[in-house]
Amino acid sequence: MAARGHVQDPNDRRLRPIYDYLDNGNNKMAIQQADKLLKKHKDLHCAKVLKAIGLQRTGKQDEAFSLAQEVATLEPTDDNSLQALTILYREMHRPELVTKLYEAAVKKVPLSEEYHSHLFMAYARVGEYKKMQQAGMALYKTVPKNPYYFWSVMSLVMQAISAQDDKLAQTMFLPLAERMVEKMVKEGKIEAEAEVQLYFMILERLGKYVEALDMVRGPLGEKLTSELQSRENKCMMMYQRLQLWPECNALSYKLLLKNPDEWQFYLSYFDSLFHLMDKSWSPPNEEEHCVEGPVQTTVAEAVKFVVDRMEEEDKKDSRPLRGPYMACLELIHRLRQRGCPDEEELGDPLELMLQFFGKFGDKPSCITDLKIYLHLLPPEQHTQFKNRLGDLVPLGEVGEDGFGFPGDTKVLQRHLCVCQLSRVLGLQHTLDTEGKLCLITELKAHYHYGLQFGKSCLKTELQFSDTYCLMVAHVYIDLWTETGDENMLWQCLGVLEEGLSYSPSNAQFKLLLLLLFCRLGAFHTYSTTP
Amino acid sequence: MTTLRAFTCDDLFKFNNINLDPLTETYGIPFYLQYLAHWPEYFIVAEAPGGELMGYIMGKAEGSVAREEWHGHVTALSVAPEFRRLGLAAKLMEMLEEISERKGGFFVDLFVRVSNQVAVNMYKQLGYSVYRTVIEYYSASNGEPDEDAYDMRKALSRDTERKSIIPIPHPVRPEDIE
Repeated sequence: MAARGHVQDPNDRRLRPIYDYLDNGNNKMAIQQADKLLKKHKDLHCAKVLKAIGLQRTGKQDEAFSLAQEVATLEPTDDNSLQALTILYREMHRPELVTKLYEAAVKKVPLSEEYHSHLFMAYARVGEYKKMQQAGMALYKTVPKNPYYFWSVMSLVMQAISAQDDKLAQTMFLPLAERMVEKMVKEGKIEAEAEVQLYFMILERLGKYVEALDMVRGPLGEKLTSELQSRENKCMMMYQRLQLWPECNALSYKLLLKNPDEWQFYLSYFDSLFHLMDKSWSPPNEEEHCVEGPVQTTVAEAVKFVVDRMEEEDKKDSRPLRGPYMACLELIHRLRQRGCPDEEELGDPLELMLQFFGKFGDKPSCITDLKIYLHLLPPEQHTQFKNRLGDLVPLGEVGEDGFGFPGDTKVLQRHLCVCQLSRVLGLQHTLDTEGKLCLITELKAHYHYGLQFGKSCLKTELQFSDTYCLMVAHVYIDLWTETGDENMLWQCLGVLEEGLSYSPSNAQFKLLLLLLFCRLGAFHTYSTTP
Repeated sequence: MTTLRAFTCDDLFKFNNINLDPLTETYGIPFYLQYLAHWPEYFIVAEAPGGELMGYIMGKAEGSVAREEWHGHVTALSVAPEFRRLGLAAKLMEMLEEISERKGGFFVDLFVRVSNQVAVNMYKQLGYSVYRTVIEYYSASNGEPDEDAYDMRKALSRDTERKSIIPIPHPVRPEDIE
């Protein structure tokens, strides 16, 4: 990134040393040099402005400002002065003065492409959309390049977006913008991808979804190449707005076959399928179902689709994707919501979640994934679930302290996941004080045992067993909240500080400590940078 | 299970779980907005089913076509600790490479701290090699010494002879980079 206030290379040899001084932060010398130069050439406007910049940077705002105004009132048209004044005004946070500058310049030199551009930019800095629109067109009339025309169109869209009265946007700004683009389309003058994107944006805002869809699917849509799946994403959005469920379903199906881990397409696939069912839509017999291809409209098809995807993952040698398994749980959830008995065809949620844990339990994401579907288990099954999960975690032999420990980090992560799931299910909260204290002892033991796996961790890495420590802290907080025993809070702080000593980059420890210190009224600043 | 979509301004309010990682740089807002304005196709975020952000990638394309230096560049790539080991970084890199291929880039490159062994190994596994070392590329914020960076590259199909990745024997300084 260029540094702020970087001045461009001057054409004038005499000014160069002053620019250099300013770039190097040597404001005193810059002012001195400028004064020297002004003694010999008292009308060298740019030197005055550079001196003003030096003054502004040394805190002499008022002097800088009046000096600058001396030059500004003369309405300069030389590049150096204009650019220098722009820099000065921006550093003074007076962008509106730049607009005045270039308005004057453009009046004097109406054919300057550069000054018109700068004027447009000056208006953009202060958000004067209407003036931007006019400046853009003036620029286009001077030099007929596409970008300038579309700057004007964009300014209209900005007026629509910022309009207080939405009717104005819908009846004036957007239709005008649309007509402007249509003119270019008719004349075959559309060039850049950004122009097509702008057109799509305008049609979408006007609610002209059919036109937008046709545009994207037509030859203009071929320009949408930068973003991956740009056309498909835009089509999907329009299908959903227009409630064209057959197309939505077929497109989701196609995209899922290519990418079975894309969550948003499972959602659109299910949404559209159930909408079609509710409308009792069925595909025509002999023709193709719709422009996007085959459509699925029955629960049986959805079930088969999900089951097939899972089987594909099961067969793979390489890393399996979580998508299909999560989709299965999602489908059960939706069928259950609709009171559909077919959910049984997909299997028992408990068994499915155990399978999921078997495949993905050694990844930290397992808990965030399963959390979403725990509601599929009735409360009576919670303890059973936790116990069955425990069976899938091969801990070592029970030692003197009564605990068995994991042999490697993968087993550790699985055990951690089970602990987290049991907390989410509320099983930790139902324990009495004694039970919670026993739990703390167990978790602490696991925490300390797990530190050995992280001996070679850099200080920018987290320890594998950090989450045990965090959980201990939270159980202490539970106890403190329930019993009011402050000792619990102090223990908690101690545990977190210990955790931080082994894992100095753990932001969760720091955030929790900050929260607790604030509760205690100890607003002491944390000097370690997160 | 991920939704891969374009990063939006609002996501800047939700990415703390990713950016609180000590090796992930958090830039000023103008920096992110510049990338969203110029190269939105390269700014992709992965979202989990529960709505949490899992990771993101930021990139750009630059360099002279005539000098066969037109290339894709990875500006930032980060995955939240709770979503690691799912192959997400590899997936995001794959997307950036695909976009760079479509733009006709000759190669993809990136800068990484020489001490960030985890990242260096990951990129090597994805087919990147060290092209050169850049001395004191990363300025330290708190009195610690500046750190060197590896400039790692992967050739794309347009570079048929894979010339772009032939390593330079001597290290360079940040001022010498184009």
